[in-house]
Amino acid sequence: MMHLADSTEHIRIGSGGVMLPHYSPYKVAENFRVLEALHPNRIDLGIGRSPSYQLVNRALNESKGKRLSYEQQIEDIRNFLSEPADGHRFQDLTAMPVIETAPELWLLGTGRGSAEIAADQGMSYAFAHLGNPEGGMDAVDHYRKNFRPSPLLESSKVMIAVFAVVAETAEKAEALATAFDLWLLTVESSSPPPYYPSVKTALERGVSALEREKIRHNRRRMFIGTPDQVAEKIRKAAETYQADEVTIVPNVFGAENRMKSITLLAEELGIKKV
Amino acid sequence: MVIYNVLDYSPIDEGSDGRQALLATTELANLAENWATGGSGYPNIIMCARLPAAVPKC
Repeated sequence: MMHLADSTEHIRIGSGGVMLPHYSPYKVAENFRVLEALHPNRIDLGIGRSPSYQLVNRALNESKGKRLSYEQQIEDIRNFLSEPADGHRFQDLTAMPVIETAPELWLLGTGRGSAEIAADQGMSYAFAHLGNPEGGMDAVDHYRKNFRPSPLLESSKVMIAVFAVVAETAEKAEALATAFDLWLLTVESSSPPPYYPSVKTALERGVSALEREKIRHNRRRMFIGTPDQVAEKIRKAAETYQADEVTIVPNVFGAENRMKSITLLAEELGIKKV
Repeated sequence: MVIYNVLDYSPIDEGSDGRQALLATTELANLAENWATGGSGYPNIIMCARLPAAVPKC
């Protein structure tokens, strides 16, 4: 993140996200304060709680004893970043460096549980439409209705995150989606994939009947098509959720394809002037 | 006005490597930076994520 922030001057840079249960809130707060100190008002701290693969979880946590609750971790990190006058259980400990600004705090989630925490802690809420579209409206509604202002955020703020597979033609988009299908199958299996498969690999491999059913289900999590088709779906989703922000994940095979994908979409959405 | 962001996982493409993946994310950030300074008025965010064990942590 520091490299990206150093390489740019205007855009915001954030994590999507730090899986907090694996780490110390104090340490994460210090890391992000360093980023914020050198790039004020350009840093977002996105937090999530994916347990990750079994071996990753073990490697990160096997030496740890008692674990803090997720809610306590979030409260701690919020306090380390906002330094309230009282009520902080580490009142005498300061996350360094001491700075005037704070990173924007986002809670990433897929349902009611995370929405409750984000509302209670006064954080921005990012709903992962790309992970589980079901229940999204319920989660976002609950968040908005129950939001409590915090020292870091005065009013509710909602982001949705969507997978987007975009190409100049519907045929090419479908071909890229075939590789995406395979990547998603492997990344959500019991062990991590060594790489993102090419379209050629995906087509040659084929899929089993069981995998085909899973793919059919997964396709509800992504927007596939030409720039105008995908832009329309994104606009509609943003309107449905009344989202303040949309995060687009152009997760297709090949850096050139990803670059092309997001450029086409940016032109269609009016982000990039043609 | 909706703010649009881009999240890049820095995926390691078949036939590529981790260094290339990270450089590609930087290239994407520079692309967004150009849009942000091109008068569009839209802030843009590049968010990098750590996919479990698949890519280096950003």
